[in-house]
Amino acid sequence: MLTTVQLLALVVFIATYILIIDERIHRAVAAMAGAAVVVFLGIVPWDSMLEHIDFGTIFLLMGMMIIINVARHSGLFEYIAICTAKMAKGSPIMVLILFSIVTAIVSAFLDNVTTVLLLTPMLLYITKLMDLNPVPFLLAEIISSNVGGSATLIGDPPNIMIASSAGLTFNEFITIMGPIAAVDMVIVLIIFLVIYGRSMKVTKEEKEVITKTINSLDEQAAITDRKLFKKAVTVILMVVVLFFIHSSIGVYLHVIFPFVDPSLALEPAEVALIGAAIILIWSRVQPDEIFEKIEWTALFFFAGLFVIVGALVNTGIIEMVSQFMISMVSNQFEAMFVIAWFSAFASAIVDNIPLTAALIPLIHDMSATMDVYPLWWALSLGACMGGNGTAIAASANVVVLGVAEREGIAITFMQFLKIGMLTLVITVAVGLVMLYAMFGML
Amino acid sequence: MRYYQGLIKRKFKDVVGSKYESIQKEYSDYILTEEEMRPREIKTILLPLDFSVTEVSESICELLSAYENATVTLIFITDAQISEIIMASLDKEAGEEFIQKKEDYGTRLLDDYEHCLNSRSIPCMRRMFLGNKQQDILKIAPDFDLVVLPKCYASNHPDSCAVSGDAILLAQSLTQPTIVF
Repeated sequence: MLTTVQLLALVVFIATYILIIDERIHRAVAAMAGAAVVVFLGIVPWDSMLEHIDFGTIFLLMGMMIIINVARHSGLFEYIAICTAKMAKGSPIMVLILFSIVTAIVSAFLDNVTTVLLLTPMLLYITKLMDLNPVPFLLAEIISSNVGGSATLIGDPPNIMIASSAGLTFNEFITIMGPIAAVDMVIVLIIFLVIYGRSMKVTKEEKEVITKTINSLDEQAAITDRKLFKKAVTVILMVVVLFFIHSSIGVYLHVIFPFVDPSLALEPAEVALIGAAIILIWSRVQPDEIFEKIEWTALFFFAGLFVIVGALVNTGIIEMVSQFMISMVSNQFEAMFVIAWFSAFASAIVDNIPLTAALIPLIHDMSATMDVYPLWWALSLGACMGGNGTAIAASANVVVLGVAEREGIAITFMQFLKIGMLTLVITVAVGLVMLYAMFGML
Repeated sequence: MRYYQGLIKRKFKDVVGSKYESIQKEYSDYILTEEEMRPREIKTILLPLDFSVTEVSESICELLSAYENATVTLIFITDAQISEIIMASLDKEAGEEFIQKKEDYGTRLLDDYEHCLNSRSIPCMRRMFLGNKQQDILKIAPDFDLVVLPKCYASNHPDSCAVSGDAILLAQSLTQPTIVF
């Protein structure tokens, strides 16, 4: 039986998650209100509240937001969009393939929401030129963003949260999740070409007109500030390189500066904040302009979620669920199966960020009885690919669907669900088999 | 369905805020809007002529034949101010003679252009009047979908001009598409 405090913590948790799903109240406000209630009731004492907030996640997101906002000023994303459109040479299938690949790659290293928000207008423009139904192109963009985001530590918020909590490195993510994302991406493209390929046809004359119109776009004109553009690209590349070596940076620095301890390692959040500091100093952009654009609502949303989930940890509910799960599974193989599929389907309903926030302490709790290292990857796989399940499962979905709706393109819930669920099942299944193979469980 | 649409709108507003409007504005600087992408229908064409035009341009007649079902209005304007100056400085007869000569020239030019256009089955109308070559065109032009300007329109030295000042000014001032030939 649950105690009164446990029941209260559970009610606040469920009520907050319902508010987050429904979003009649801003998700950040809902999370903060839930956090306020558990603090007010003493379920999470004020003194220990900060212990529950994962500042690794918060500062990593903040640093990347600063870098992306400065880069956005330079026209970098628009430049990428125009170059991609030109490369397709008026072929609808090439537009679908190239935009999907570019979206996946950019999403792997930068924020998914900004990526799709800046690439979607160009995709819509091209489909208008081709006089083709934009829905398959938009769906492919959403799914590519979620699949691409799963490849790296910084690609998707669930990965950031998992890495920060479990202490996983960028290289571990790219070596384990990278190949899964690549294989899943190929499968996604095949699915789209099989389902929609036949409808993506234009005549030779139309193709020539489309190519001519797209070629008349000047990618150089998209660069609003050439110097800033170069600086932004340089800093982003530098940050990516730093992410690759963050866990062993001391080894490299020791070669140049012998006084540096070879065991020195940087946290991913430190890398993002260093990158943010460098771009702010180098670009000379007014910091208040950039700080205003930090998505504070997203950061408070995360902080609120951590506190609400902290209430479940403090009251022992997470431990109870963890005990239940351990009793249900007999080994890592089964635990990975349950976590991957549960997180995938639950993400499709709840949104993968709050779902990951709730599952992280659960996996930590399971570490008392089994090696949970493979379980983190099962969670990453389920949460990221689960983002494809429904229209509300991930932020990128909502952004593209919202843009489409504003442009008069209706994508129904069922229309999304059919392709989303198909992708979810196939990508998670393939990913899980690959994880089993990587961890020698096959 | 209505709940779903409302949900997407609410979530979009919460995730994106007002960012999309600024992105749309940035994109509009270099990609065409839907309205701009739609080719403008040309039904009425204005072709102003004056003393600076010495011969019929077959190539412009050919070009105008591309606008199916468009009607070309030929306008020949004689400068009223110059006529007044002549009348004031010489006499009324000299002024009338000046106007008559211009009108004879204009009639011939309009005949030639009319023939050139009709031979390509382009319907056309013609007008001739005393007025201001620049201001009158600016007044009349809004009623037309396309304005076709001779490059030395209103020039006093048609033989040596590359493009007249009036032609440039009109091309810059008119809001509708303009061809300078």
